[in-house]
Amino acid sequence: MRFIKTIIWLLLVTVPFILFLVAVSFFDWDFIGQGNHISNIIFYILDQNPLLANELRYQNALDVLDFGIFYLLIYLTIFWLVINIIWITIGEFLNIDRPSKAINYIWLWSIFFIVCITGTLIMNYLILYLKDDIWHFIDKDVFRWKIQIFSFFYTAIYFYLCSIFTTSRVMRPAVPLLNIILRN
Amino acid sequence: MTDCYYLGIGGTGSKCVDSYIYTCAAGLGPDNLWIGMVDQDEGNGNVEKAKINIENYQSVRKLLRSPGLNDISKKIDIFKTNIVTPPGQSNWAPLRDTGSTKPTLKSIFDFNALKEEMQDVINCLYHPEEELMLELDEGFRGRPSIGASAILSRVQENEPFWQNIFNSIDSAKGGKQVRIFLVSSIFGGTGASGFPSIARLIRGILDKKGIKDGVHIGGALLLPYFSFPKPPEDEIGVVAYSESFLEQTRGALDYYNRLFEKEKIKTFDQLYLVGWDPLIPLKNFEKGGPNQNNPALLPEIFTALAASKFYTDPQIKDGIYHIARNDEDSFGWQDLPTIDDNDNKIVKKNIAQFTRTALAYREIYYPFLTEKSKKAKNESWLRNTILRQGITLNDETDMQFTNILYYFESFLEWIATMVHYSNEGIKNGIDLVDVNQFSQFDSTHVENGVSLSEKLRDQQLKQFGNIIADTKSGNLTKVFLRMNYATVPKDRAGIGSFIGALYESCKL
Repeated sequence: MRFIKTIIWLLLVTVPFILFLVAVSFFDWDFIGQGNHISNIIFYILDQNPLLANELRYQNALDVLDFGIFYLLIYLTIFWLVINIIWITIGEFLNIDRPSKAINYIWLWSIFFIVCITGTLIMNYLILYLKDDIWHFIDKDVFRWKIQIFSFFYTAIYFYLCSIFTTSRVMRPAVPLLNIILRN
Repeated sequence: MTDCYYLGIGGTGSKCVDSYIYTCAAGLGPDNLWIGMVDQDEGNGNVEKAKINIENYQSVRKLLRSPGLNDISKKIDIFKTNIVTPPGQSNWAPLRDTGSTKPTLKSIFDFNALKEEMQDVINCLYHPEEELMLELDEGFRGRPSIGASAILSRVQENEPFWQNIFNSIDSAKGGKQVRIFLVSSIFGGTGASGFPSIARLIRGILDKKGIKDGVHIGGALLLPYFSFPKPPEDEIGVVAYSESFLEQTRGALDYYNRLFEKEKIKTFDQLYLVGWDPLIPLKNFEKGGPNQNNPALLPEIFTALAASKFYTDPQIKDGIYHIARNDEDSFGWQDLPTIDDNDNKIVKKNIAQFTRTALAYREIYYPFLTEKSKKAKNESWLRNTILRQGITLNDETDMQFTNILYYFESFLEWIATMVHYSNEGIKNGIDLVDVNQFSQFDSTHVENGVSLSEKLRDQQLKQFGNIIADTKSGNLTKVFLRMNYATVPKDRAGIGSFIGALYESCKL
């Protein structure tokens, strides 16, 4: 029962985080950036080559969406869920049988935290930057300084939020500050 | 509500009192209980141990069941029995020391003031040197005939010790239920003499007062169940020795047979007879005094369960009860009788859960409630069961938690002693609690050879889920998990919240 509740919490945190990315990437929200998602990709992500025709830019943006962001979001969802489930499961098998023992596993949580962020950044790199079809459309600086830094913080917040809601009370001391944030 | 009285008579009776208190601590006793001992040998180690146990029980119970302040909740059985015996009044010695002179039968009868013919009668009944002059400050030395005279001559309604029972008997006229349970050995001196004498005395008072309903007398008689080495030559004759037990038992059983055949009104509504074959060999012998501190033995728990059944049975059915082991060579939970016809596992459940609670408390939680509390102050279990209940961990709570620790330790020591010593009499051993996980037994030790392990090693703690025989129960990880998710019901308060949560977390 507790495990089912944990999975529900995991989904409740993961789904909005992914949905936000899906919405920003695929929905026309006129209050964001240039007014629609394709324009946003063209304006904020693609390489600003003045020689490129608008039709071609549009097509490139579509390619980035269909072959890059689409797959990236699928892989990210799976990766995030898997890494959290592994963290939850490992927490169950660490045999925390007494007070003050879980805090010794703060290093383990840190590894998961780092793996989650690094994995996300590597995935960005592989899918958006190395992939044959789309790598040359994306601005290098934008990728390096905007997408990766945004991903870093976004993933960090996501993983910490997941840790808040899914880490068992027994393992809470292993998550920095969690016992101070949650008072139950 | 039924008024329950438990009277342990003699050395074995005192040991049974000790065992009954632990049984009550495990939640198998009645709601209210007056408990007392009759032993001439007041300084006897067994009596002393039981006295201390009563007082410790009462102080721990106060910590766990003071409504509004510290309350473990009515739904939890442990320490539910309110032992109402006033402090210092738990033992009655028929013959008090009068200054420097030690009591003798001669002084009881005021022998020198008697007429010559009466002196002759007494001389016929008792040996003029060995028995009449025997100093009785350390008991009746296996002589029921001496004990019976001494006890019957001294039981008086205005004695504070007896007042409780006699007042309660009076209240039975108003429709109140009173249940009196006597325990003693059938062999030996004080017990063998006091058991029938006191029962008949109470029955006589009931008869005199015309009380026919509402007061029930039950009893448990222990047939010989242990043996010890023969005492030194010079003490044979004035002390109990185990080789005479069987002989005395035979005589006593014959006496009871005649008593029950002749009586018009039954002395006992229920009588339990408990024996053990082969006798459990003990290596120690003391004629009396503080050194007579015999180890708890398994048959004594049968008397405790008999008493609990007697108190909790909705209706008292007449009978003489006996029970036998399923297998001659082994002993397991299935061999312990149930006290509740609707729940035949209650004995195992309560004793096992209490043992697990005591062990988990001692090994895991106590340090984090006292000197290491800062390390755990932000953890859920401590926050929910202690800090949120308004408890501030300080020197005062340290003392309270230490009192609880001492009680749990004494319980663990009791159960370990019982199993270790009784093991000697059973070929395949006793399969109740794996006491080797938390205690050591040195059979060569003259006094109590059982000691609790100083601090359990991780390997031993890993066996926590296996300490209860025939049951695979949750290990310490599971207990800790349950502790962290424990919810504190509204009817719990103070330290009771923590102990209640721990007890529930330690369920099988």
